[in-house]
Amino acid sequence: MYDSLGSLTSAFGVPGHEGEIRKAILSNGQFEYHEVDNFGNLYCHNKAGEGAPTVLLDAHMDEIGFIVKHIDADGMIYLNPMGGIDPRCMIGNRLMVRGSEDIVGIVCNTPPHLSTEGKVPDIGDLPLDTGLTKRELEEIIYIGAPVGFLGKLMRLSGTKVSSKGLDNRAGCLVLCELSKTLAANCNVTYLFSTQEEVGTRGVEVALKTMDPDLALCVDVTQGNMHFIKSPITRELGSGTIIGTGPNIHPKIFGSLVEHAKKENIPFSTKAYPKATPTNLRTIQLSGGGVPSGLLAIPLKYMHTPTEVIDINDITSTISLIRAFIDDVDDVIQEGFTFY
Amino acid sequence: MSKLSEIRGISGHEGDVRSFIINEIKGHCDDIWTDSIGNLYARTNKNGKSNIGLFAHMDEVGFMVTGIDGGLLTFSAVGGINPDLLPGTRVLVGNDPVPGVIGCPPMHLQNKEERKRKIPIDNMRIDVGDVSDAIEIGDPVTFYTKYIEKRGLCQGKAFDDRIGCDNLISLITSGPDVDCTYVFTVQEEAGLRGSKVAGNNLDIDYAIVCEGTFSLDQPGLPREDRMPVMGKGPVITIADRSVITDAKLRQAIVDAAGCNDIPYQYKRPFAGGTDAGMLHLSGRGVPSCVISTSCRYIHSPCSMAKIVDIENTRKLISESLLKISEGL
Repeated sequence: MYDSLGSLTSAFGVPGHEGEIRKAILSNGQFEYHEVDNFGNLYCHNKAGEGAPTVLLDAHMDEIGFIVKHIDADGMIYLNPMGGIDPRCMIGNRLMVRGSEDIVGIVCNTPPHLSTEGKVPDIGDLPLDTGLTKRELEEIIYIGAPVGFLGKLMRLSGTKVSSKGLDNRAGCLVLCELSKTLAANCNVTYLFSTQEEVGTRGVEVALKTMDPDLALCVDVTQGNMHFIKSPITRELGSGTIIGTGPNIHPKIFGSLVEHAKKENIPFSTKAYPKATPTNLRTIQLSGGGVPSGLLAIPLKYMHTPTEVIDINDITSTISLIRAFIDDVDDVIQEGFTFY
Repeated sequence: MSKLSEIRGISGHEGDVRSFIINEIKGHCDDIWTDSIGNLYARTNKNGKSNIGLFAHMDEVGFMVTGIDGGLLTFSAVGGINPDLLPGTRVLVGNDPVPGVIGCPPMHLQNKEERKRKIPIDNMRIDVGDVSDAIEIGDPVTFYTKYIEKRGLCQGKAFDDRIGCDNLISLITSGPDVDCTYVFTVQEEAGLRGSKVAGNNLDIDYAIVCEGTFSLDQPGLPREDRMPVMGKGPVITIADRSVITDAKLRQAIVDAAGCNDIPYQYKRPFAGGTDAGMLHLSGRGVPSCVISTSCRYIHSPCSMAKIVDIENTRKLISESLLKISEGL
């Protein structure tokens, strides 16, 4: 699983530029066939046959990134963020600009010999330095070229790993692993959606052509950090997190909890008092309404180049979805109406 | 340079750099020895007069582990490091290295005011995952940065001063036939400490320090302050915080550049300090000068240099040696 996760996290895939991650997913999962729509969404199918219920498993495959806003006379590149990014995690880090060739730059910083006390700069004011001149750059990249974080997956002590893009390549790995082992009792569509980080746009389009009996969304959520521990953060390694709230169908939540207990899968629940900050906010409202559930993997330092997760939480998430889907016929037969 | 950049060696932990250099130069010099603080000396002595000392420091800036709380480590900087660079950075901890990251709080869980505040270094931790038995208090921590080269530019960690080490190695293995004493010093970043001992241990007539220094062609700096800059050739120091370089020696270096069409530039006076600060005060006073390569973002996880600058620096040192050996 470490190797798969490594190949998924290192693939480039900022919103609107998900081609490379799409390929990585196809080489890591086991699917009967797949389709790609106009929006770049990747639909992978494993069919059980006519009459079997259809389950949608969604994980967004895009990662936060930037686009080139401006190149100044000295060849410094200025950026616009795609997704929420804290400038403090960028200074001194390397970013990759994708043009006719990939160019690696360093986000400018001042040497300590000359450092002055100041405030945190705005992202738009941080220069990205590739060492190339404006003229050289203009032959390789264009205004609007996509820019992403760099770096391979790094194994930390125990079962923890760090990389860029674990949000939400961890979720993509869950789906890829499930595609190899799920029993064929229902039709499963694995949706790897685009442009979540800029407002769940991929699923908005994807769900127009789908009518699943139920949907599960797999994403990451905030882990406990020494900076911040709050009722909404969870300890890494404490298991999968089952979401509950108006965005989640109570029957699906109930069944997930029941299966986690029955199978002794480590888990906790998390209350979302409004629409969750995941694709599920959009999936639930599609068509005539889709009964939905949310599984989340705790992650430290979200939206930075050094996100951290515990691989055991991925395993727990996979186990729980597998157990849930094994009995999914029962849930669907009971129905989702509220009377 | 690729290997030298990725080898780990903060001040006081230069062993791996030293072993690498010994391996590169053995067979190319007449004597190799070390002293009690860890400086590495090599001498070429064909004509019996190794009176010119060439210096580069082996250590790099980094951190030391000061406390362990499960998988979270507190740390102190070794050398001058701007803490603003640290959130979101990868590091290697310990002698049998364990990878770790310095985290940054997620923006989602902070309000606008909190996000505008810099994170004090006391509130940063190195996150190594789970508890690791391999880590002890005092363990060295280095940046974890892959070296890359493309389009005449290179990027990597520790260019200050592995560029100097690289230059000295090349001079030993394929430089001009001038007898020199080459010294790879320790603990420069901890306050020019290795060179103090080296100065006491040597009896030389001239000292030339080879450095990777900063580049000031950075946005936000007035044009007139931008000296030195990357791409404009080797950098000659007139004066920094630690030394006023010897005028005759400096002129010989400038002449060597002029005679051989090597571009050069001066370093902004009174910024930074180098081993020359100790060496020029050693013995009865040793005429000293500094020749550097201008690198962007030294003392950070990743610096940048132009390959042509590194080559021209080597050429200038080489031609200067020939000039000095003729007598000043």
